[in-house]
Amino acid sequence: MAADRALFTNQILELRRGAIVLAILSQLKRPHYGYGLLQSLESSGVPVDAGTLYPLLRRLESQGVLESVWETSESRPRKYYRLSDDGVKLYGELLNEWQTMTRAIEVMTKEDRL
Amino acid sequence: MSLIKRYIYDVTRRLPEKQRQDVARELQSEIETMVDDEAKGKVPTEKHIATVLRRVGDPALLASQYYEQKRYLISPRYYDAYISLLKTLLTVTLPIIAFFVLTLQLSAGHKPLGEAAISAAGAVFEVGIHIIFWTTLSLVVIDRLLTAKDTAVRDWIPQQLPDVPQAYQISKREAFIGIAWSIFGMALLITQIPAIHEVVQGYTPLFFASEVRPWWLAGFVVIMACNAGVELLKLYLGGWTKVMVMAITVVNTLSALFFAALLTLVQPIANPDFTSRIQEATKGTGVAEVTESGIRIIGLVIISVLIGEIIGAWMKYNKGRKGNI
Repeated sequence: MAADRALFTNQILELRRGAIVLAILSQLKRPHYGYGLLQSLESSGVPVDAGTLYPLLRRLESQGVLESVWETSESRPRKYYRLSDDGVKLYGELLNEWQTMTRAIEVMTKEDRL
Repeated sequence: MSLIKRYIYDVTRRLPEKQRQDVARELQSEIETMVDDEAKGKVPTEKHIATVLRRVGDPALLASQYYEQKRYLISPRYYDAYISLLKTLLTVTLPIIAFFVLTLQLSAGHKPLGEAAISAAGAVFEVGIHIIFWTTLSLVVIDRLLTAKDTAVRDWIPQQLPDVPQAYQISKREAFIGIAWSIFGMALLITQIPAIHEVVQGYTPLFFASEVRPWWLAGFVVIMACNAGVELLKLYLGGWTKVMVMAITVVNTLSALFFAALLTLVQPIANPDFTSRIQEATKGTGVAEVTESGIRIIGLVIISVLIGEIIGAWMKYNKGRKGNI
């Protein structure tokens, strides 16, 4: 039984993993700092671990998908991320792919969906 | 010291220098924001901080998420090649090394068997370590160099697919190893022939007692030759055919009978001159008895291995026949 639970958790993680980047990119047309993005995602229904989000933002930046800026004007310095030009393009492609996939899956699962 | 500072240190110390400062800065800012939020307007306490830090997670785990480089020495792509290369190199070269060192020590070095064996073991160990180290190093370098260049999926063509080994097949490597050991054994025994022995070792006493020479020794050489023949047959036939299995059964049964006879009928097997020499050299007692018992134990082991081989051969033969319906 414990093995089944682990299998399920794993598969669910895999399913969400693919969607996370798309979810993140969708929020970053406007600049966000880490925790702000975390809260925004959570309230939108796509919660992401802090330990996953922060390194992921950094990686996306190193890949040229995001741009960052250290905002020192407020009481506390914060690193703000937003989409780069390449990031905007990537977001568009990911979104397209997502829509194609979900339409297909919707058809395939028509009978079984609640 | 502040909990947050300690946490950030624990994360960033695992990261390369370049990343450290920026990651530290970012984490500091984010964690402090999270703590303020957790405290909900009141003054943050250690409890708030601890809750937030646990939420962010294990520092080692977090650091591993940040770490962008490869986490393994040899990537999965080359790992199989690495392991099979290592296996082949070791199993082929080590017996040869053992053979050379042993004969060199026994002949030119005039050392007694025990000392020669120890030298051989030392040489095998040393060469083995070298092989492992250099193979690993080469594969690591090749892996870094090649993987850096291609990011595309490897293009394989169906022609590259290996042949499916059938249940009854004997791997060539197995046959070669068998031959190597047979030659090694024969060479050892040949050095025991008095005529050759004088030339090669001169004054050191022979290992085998005079009761054993010359006929039992000759029989021994014949047995080894038959064994080598069986190995060649393995190479030639390539599989566990009826002929193969019969050959092994016959040769091994005769060998086992030979050894059984040798162990029970001949006493002593080790040359008393030889064992007394060792006794002198090591100032031990009862070397003769220990050597005799040792030989008998080895003899029993050899006999069981021979019988085991017969059984194994029949089993593989049957498996092969079932598989080939």
